Formats: sequence, C-alpha cells, structure tokens
Amino acid sequence: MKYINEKELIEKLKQGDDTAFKFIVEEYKNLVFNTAIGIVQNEEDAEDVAQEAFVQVYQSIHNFKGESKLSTWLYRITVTKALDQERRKKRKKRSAILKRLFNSEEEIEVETPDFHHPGVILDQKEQASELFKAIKKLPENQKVAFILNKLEGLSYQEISEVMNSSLSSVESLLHRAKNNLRKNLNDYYQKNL
Amino acid sequence: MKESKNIESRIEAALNSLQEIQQASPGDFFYTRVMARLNRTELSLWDKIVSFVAQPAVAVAVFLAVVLSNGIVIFNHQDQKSASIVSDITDRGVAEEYNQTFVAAYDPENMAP
Repeated sequence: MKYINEKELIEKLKQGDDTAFKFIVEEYKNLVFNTAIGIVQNEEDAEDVAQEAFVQVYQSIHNFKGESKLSTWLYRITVTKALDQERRKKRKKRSAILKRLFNSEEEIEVETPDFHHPGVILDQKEQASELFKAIKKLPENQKVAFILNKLEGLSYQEISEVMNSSLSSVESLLHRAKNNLRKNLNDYYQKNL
Repeated sequence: MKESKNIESRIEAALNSLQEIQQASPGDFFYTRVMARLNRTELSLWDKIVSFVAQPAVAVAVFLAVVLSNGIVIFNHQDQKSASIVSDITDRGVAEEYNQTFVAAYDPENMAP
C-alpha cells in the first residue's frame, strides 16, 4: 500500500491503522537499524534499539506535531535509544570491572570483540573495523554527527535538524570528530604496528 | 620516517573505508518481531500497574485510607445522633415547664382533633 504523502500516513497512524504502521516499519527499518548499528556497534543491540524505536513511534505518534519530517523524528528517536543502550552497556562494563577487582577468582569477559559492519565491502573490512574502534572513543555528539554523515549520508543541514543544532555547530562537530579520529587511529597504530 | 608515513597512510585508508558502505538492514520478519515487542510492552505496562498496587506499602496505605474514611463517617454519624438527643431533651424540658404534652414524633393518638 502506498500513501500519497507523509501527512496522510501520520494521520492513519494516529487513528491506529496497523497497515500504516507496517508501512512505516518496512519503509524505515533500514534507516533505523543502520543508524543504531553505527552507534552501538553490535547487531543484536542494534536490533533491540530498532525494535524499541518503532515501539516508541507507535506509542507516541500522537505527540508528533509534524513540524519536522518523519525521518528526522525517527533519527532522533533512534539516536536517543542507541545512546541509552550504550550508556547501559558502559555501566555494566564498569560494574564487571569492579567485580573483577573484588573477586579475582571469577573470570569475567570485559573486552568487546571487533565490530564488522555488514555493509562494508570485503577488502575494506579491516580498516573499517579499526575506524569503528576509533569512532567508539568519540564523545557522543561527535559520534552521532559522524555516523549520520558517513553511514547515513545525511547533509550538514539534515544533521543539524536531527540534532537540533545550528549548521555551524554541526560543521564544528564534524571537524573535531575527524581530528579526534585521526588522533585515536594514530594511537592505535603506534601500539599495534 | 618510513614508519610515520606508513601510519599516516593507514589512517587515511581507515578514514576512507566507509566511502562505499552499504546500508545495513535487520533480519527477515522484522515487523513481526516489532509487533511481538509492542504486545510485550503493553502487557508489561499492566504488569507494572498490578505490581505497583500489590506492593505492601501501597496495600497498607489503601487499607488505612479505607479505615480512616470509615472512621470519619462513623464519627460524623454519632455526632449528629448526640446533637438530636440534646435537642430532644431540651424540647421535653420546655414542654414540662409549661405543662404541655410533648410529642416527640408524629403520633396520631395524641393529635388534637
């Protein structure tokens, strides 16, 4: 089923139309999943985030005023959910480290395995994995801006709409993100080459 | 010198590695899984409400509120009853002083023709 425009689709969704919801899920699932996987860097977690994002869309569509595009709203929900997931994981990791400190007999796996994005071409796999390691170390807002730009191909203007910030601050964020990535990669290669 | 050049080229290669990246997509039947999650979330909302109500603190608070409201109702009722007794006694006193027959309620036998 095709909808003439976004407004009609949102109206149908507000009326509780399951077909409209199915249409949104099918239409935007890749956008949501790809953004989530870029931030959380794990397929299972990204699936979790994507499901949660669509559940929130269903439950809070009445709060959507239509002032931004549906895709912008979806990006915002996904980014928030993915960052929440990351924070939860970091907390778990910290408590695992503490456990290990106080209970030396128990072996706890803390190191996260290398992440391979399923959309990366085969001969770039290793370099991309190293880049994702460096991305993981970026501050949250730089990470989000970089992921939206490089993985989702959003323009600076679109990123500023998703992040509710000015165009110049997005430019600055991306500039700092690239500098930090260079630094992180340099540190990594100094240790590993 | 050679090593730093090597590192520099590795950094550039890593930074350019996402240029031809394809969009990742979730597994098949994603919509079905979203719907299952949605149903689970709605169910768990009810579970949350039930478990909140069943908490000992909430249960005790509700019990105390019921007891308190009953107490207030009983106290008010007794207050009204004693007030009507007082007025009844006063009426009898006045009637006896003036040698009148006191009719406390509607009494057809003591009614004047």
